[in-house]
Amino acid sequence: MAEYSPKVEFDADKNKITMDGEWVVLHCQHYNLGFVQMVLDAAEYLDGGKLMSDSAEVVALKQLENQPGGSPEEVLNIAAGMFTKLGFGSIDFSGVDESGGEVKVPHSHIGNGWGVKYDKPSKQPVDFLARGFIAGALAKAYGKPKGAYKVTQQSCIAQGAPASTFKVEVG
Amino acid sequence: MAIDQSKVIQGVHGLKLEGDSSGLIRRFGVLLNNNNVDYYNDFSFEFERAIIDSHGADFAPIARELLIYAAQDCANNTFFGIMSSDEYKGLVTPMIENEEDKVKGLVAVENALGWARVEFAELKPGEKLVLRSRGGYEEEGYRKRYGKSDHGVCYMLAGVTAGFMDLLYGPGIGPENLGTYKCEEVKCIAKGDDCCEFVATKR
Ligand SMILES: [Zn+2]
Repeated sequence: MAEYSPKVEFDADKNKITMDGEWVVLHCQHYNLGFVQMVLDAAEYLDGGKLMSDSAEVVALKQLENQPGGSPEEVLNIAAGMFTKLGFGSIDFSGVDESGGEVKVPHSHIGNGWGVKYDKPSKQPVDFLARGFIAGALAKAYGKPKGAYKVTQQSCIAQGAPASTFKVEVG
Repeated sequence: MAIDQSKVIQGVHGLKLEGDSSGLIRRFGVLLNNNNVDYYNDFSFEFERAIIDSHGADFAPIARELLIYAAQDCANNTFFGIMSSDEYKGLVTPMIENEEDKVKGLVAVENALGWARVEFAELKPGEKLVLRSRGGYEEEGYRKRYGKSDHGVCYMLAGVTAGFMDLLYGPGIGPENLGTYKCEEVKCIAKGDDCCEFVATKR
């Protein structure tokens, strides 16, 4: 099965890093969790988690567009490799198919990052990045448009769970 | 010796900043990730707009301040980790000959992260730092989405510029200094200026 093996290039004139032509930047959990904190603080009046997961879904779909296609299993294998290589964590799609199921994230930049940054566990699931990535990866795998899958995070490493879990339903 | 930026960039890129077997990039006391610029741009600009939609234009500066602060927090932690690392001490510290080089060393690392082409402009130690950038992902992304702006949009680069001053001239050690300085983006390519210009001064 094809593995995720992006062509990484650095344009020294522009200080631009691309992976298979897509501009990527390095950031730390402090920045990413700063964004998550903004979402939590604004929760009363806007669904920032949806904004964040929508952004991640669009990006996952776009980045997977550049990858070899094939069967859903092959696309999800590439997606899992991408998730790992980018430093998002590790991801297990074995419990999901076209009609939905569960996706497990045993390691997560956001979830594990929370424990490094904050003393207290989170009161709620916060991995909007993984949530959007999962929705995008499944849409690509099954040839569906953005928004085809509704992903709900059920447990989160940031809350002290051993792994983050996501329920997937056809949207 | 002065700061050899291309050598610093090569050094950082030589670290292979990719997920390990658990998909995490553990470096400099933080977790890093590589993410698409569209993710950051879509979220930050839409979040800013959503706050303005729900609270009115008076809240725009607050939304921007939050976005800047997230980056300042990042700079205080990640760049402190970088400055404290053996890699930095081995590669960059020997190139530092004067006060300006302390900033230029950090700017060289910043330029390795793929955010923009950042240049040192002016330093008054402890008082003021001016950096300029071109081709930043925020201004490019903003213009692509919304066209010309009436304000500077490079919140992340602004926060990082203030963070450099926190780290170099704050009273404490590392992230204890978070927020000692503030930064204003006085010129921005998204406004039609020839470059983005960041001025950090004491808060
Ligand atoms: Zn700008």
